[in-house]
Amino acid sequence: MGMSNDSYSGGASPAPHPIELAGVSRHFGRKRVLEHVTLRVPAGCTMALLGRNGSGKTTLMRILVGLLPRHGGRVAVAGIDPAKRPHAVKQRVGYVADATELHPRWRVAHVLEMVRALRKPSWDVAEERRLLDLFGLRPRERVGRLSRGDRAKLALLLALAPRPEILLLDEPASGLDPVVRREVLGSLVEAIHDEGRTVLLSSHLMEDVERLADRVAFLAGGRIVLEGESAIVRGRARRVVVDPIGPDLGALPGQPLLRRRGKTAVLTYVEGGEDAAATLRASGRFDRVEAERMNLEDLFVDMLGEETREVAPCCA
Amino acid sequence: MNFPIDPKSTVPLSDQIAEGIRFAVATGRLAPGERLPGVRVLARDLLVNPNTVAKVYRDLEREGVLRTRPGSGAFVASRAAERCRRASHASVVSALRAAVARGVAAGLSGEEIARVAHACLEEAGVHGHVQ
Repeated sequence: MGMSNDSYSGGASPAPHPIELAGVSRHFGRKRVLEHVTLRVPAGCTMALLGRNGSGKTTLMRILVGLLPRHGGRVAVAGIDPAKRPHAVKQRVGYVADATELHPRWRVAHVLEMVRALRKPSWDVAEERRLLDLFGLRPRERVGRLSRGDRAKLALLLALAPRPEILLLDEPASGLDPVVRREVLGSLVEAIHDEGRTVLLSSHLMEDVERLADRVAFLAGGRIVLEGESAIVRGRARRVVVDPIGPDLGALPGQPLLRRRGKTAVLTYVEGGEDAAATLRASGRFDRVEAERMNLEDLFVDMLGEETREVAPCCA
Repeated sequence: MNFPIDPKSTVPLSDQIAEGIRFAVATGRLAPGERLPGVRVLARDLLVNPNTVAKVYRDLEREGVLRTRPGSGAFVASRAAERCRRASHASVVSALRAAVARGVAAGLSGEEIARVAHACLEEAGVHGHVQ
């Protein structure tokens, strides 16, 4: 990408990929959650990690912040191995997890005081005040009385006030009503813009992913099955709808995922769908061949859903 | 500046935002020489990644719709209105074509499609069109 020296290109960062995993595995007993995962997040980029429940997104995030050891592979966060120097990584990373636990009787001001003490010297008091104001949080309020949205904002504030160069967000806006979600989304837009920050975000809310992510990575079966710039990934993907089909579909160009709906077949192509549709049209085997564009949700459902596990027969 | 965007559409957000700006320029809501909101402000208004807005501004500058001045932001280019009108016309024509093609595929007759088109024109207050 040809970044110029304007205000939105982000500052210079020493590592081209502040988040890097190479061949990382992790199992829990016999269950293999991550298998040789390789993933690199470029500096200044917001990447969405997409996967179904239990696909290993949280495991991956916890490995990155040194909360969980890995079983093989290499990890570098801001150039640091979190397994060797977890404390050094925590100083560079803001981490917001789904279940951020805070004592309900504490006041917001008390929480801030504690975390401020823990995160010295990187804590930026001016940034803390700016975010308090921006997020509309009241220091006198008890944590137990905060709404879910305000609790999400407080967790985000705690992660952002030290001005981390890397931000890991594990389901930052889950369980929020649409109005509050929009507010949190606004806060996230602010957060990802700051100083060319590198962000890895996991979410089930595809609308949020469409809004926030520069890049997407699909995690399934313990592996990254698709990764790329979100505009390019969704721009290339096609659903090719063909009918009528018999019980024997015959050879199909490329290697689409296949779903049958009676006499209709829906072929999902990560790329090359338009060419495949042209080939199928030219073959004269079907009355109807239509290539439809897809959004990330369509792609998520087709790539990671149960229904389309069938891989179509490939023509040589 | 605000215009509707739909993150669930199959049209990428960057294309939707570019189209929104072109339309604002074509209809004079954004006048030549007028300054656009900063990347961060528009990103916050539309709730999208600021990188996306930055990309749209860069693309529109390349198209000749915007001019950027270092340190002072993006402005509507002097001859942008005509260019945007043409672009908007082209996208409307392709949307109409697509709608007609869908109608044909759905089995509507030419007469039925024409009747709907005429009714739409009447509703929009356009009279005296060719039969």
